[in-house]
Amino acid sequence: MASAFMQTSALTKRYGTTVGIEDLSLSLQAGEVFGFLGPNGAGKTTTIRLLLGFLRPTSGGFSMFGQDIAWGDWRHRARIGFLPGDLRLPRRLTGHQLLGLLGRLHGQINWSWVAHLVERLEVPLGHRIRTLSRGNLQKLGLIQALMHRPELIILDEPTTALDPLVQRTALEVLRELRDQGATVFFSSHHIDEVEKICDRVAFVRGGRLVGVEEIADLRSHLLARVEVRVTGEAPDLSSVEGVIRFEQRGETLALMVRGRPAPLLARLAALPVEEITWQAARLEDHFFTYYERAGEP
Amino acid sequence: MTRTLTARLLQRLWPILLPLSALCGGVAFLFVALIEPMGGLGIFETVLRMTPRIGQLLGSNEIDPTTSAGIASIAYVHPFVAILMAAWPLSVAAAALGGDVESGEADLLLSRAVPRRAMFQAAVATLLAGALAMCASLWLGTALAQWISPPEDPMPLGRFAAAAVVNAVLIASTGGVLLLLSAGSSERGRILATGAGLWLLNFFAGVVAPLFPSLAFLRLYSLQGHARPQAVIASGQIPWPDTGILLTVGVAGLSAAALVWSRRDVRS
Repeated sequence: MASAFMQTSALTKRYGTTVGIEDLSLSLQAGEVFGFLGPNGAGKTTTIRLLLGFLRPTSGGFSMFGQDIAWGDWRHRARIGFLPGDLRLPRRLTGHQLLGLLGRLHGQINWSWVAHLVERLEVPLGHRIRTLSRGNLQKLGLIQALMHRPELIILDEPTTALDPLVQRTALEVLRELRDQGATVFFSSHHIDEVEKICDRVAFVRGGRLVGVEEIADLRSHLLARVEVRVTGEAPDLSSVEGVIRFEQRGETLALMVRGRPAPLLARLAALPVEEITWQAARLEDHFFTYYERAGEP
Repeated sequence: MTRTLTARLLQRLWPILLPLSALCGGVAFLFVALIEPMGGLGIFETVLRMTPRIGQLLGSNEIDPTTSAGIASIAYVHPFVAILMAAWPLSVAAAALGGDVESGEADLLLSRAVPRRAMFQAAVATLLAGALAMCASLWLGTALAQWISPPEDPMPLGRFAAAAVVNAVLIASTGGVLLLLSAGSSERGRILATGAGLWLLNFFAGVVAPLFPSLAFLRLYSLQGHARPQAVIASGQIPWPDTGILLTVGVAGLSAAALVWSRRDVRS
């Protein structure tokens, strides 16, 4: 199991009869940004907490940095940076005090790198944490996760509270770290941000892995949203090759198309088409397509 | 690493430890310093003869409460001081381990190369440091009062120091049980409520029940009942069977707490 940068093998966590995550087998390569996409309650946070040793697996296991990780191992976490989804930092400390404390725990910290992060993300370190806005809190959370230049960065909903400008800066910093060799495990339920930064994405739902795709492959699967307005009665196009979703609203047809567009175009050529819009599908559409394939609504 | 975590926990808890220690010292000081202003030892003798149950509550079974040492020793078992000595382990239990899980500090620490045992060791070190500080303050209060306002019959301060150590063992022992509660919990409120409830039961069994002959056997099942600082002051000897029970319960509680903390899930 210990060959990939990080690998889970049939990782399972159950709370009594409730499934947290079931039979999760994933493999991350060094230097990639891996998206972990799913709605709330899909098992994303459970997976992350298993990887960090917060939770004890019911069965299965995982390896990191080429080593099998047993329950209770902790030394490997020196190479991980983690930003939790429900970030809670010691409210009475200032940002300076917090980073100082964490620096003492880590041992060797390159403080000029920390200063660089603080400058880029514009965090007021002199204020007590309880007085910080949610956005500044999240930025401080990002700095504490990156301050020791971790090899593996695990982010749980990292940009939720950030304004678009800071969100862009945060994603830039992550890309830079990726370019310098860091691997990023990026959990989110925001498809847009995963699409912006990730190389591959895993879809999870109901505690199960639905699929893993290269972002580039997903985009090239030619999933497209097509809207057609015709004169008169609109025909049923659901049986045309490549049409995976079909909806009729009076004279307007809404379709989702996978694969080659030729069969649909041939069929449309014979119809009194008034207007046609053809858009590349959003990742969200791929997401729902996955669920449908997995038998979910 | 444990030192850094201990310093952090003490930094969080010193606003509680400082007044608790000061109050312990203050109570010990007052019990000696007020002997003369209240008319000497005679007044205590009169009061205790009129209310034998109160005398028993204040330790007349262990020591003659009409001597200066007897009066001063009341500070070491007084219900108010007992409450102060319970407040410290309760505070540590509510802030560390389970308290860390609720506050999110456990996530912050355990996502780094911090072993769970370091967090546990920091909690134990903080508990013991506070216990020693409170009991040192208790003894200093007695010693200071003897120096400023010497009583008619000089008090054996060495024995008071040993009595303070017995009290520190009681705090550590209570802390062992409460840290076990904390290790398995994720909510400060629940730790405080359950811990306070357990302590009240313990206090009733160890201090109140022995006043009634039919309930006196309950003392055996209480930590408070096995802490006998006045016996130390009276005899100069540590009552090892009782103190041993306190130590055993403390060590067992801490061992069980370490096991629970090392194996539990830390959920968000």
